[in-house]
Amino acid sequence: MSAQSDDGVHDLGCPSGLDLALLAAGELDEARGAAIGAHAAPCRRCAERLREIEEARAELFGKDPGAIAAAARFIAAEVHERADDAPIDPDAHFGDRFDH
Amino acid sequence: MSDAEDPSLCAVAAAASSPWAPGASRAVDAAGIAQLYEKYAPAIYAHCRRLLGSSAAARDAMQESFVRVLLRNRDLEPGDEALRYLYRTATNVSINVLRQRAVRDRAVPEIAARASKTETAEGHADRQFVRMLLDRVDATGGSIAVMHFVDGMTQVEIAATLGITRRTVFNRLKQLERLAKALLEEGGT
Repeated sequence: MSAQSDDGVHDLGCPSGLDLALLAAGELDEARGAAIGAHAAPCRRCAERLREIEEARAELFGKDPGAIAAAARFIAAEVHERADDAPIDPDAHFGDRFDH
Repeated sequence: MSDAEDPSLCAVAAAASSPWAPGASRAVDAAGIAQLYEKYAPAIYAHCRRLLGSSAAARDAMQESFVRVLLRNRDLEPGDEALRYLYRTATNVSINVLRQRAVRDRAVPEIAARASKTETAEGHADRQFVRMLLDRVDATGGSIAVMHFVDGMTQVEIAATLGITRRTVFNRLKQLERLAKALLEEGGT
């Protein structure tokens, strides 16, 4: 599942933040989700990351039932507004590209 | 009824052409965006907040990430690939913010001092470490540093996410390790 140690640098044995995000969004298959969930429950670092995602959910959607629709309208308007601008590569950093 | 099914969202759909979709003049599907947002915004927002340490900056970075991804692919469907794409874009947007902050902090040290007082302790060490590294590496190095040191991704995961070879990731990580070690020694003297 992760994190471990194809390099000897990162040796936490924890799933990555992306794995935990996929778990929280329900995007992992059953076996992988169960494995990561079993690791995360007793792991302080991973439980903290999952708690941050749940806090974010509460903050973004919790109090205002129209929050999702409002955010979607804002994003749609931005996309419409910027459709004719020079395209931004989502991978770009200040206009440069990965140098591989 | 979920927001994704809200008919009012369909009413705001706007026709627009995109250079990433040659010849196509398609509506911006606000209902589809709502579906993506409901599913993935919490994880993307939490990721940005961990990197940036500020709720306001994280919200801006999250929204910018959705906009950039949708400008590139209007037909993005929910699924693990969509979340990976958003996550990678959010990492890059956040790195840009951190780099801009570093420039600002050098230019106006008083602002930096004020900002550091309002930062939460949570994640502070991660951000400090990344900012030190970002000052000294290029874009690829910055992304690899965030993905590996902050997010805990393996070399294989980073290579797949960035579309580069594992060998490149390995070599860059070795450079980053040497740099991190030098920075720590510098700080310790």
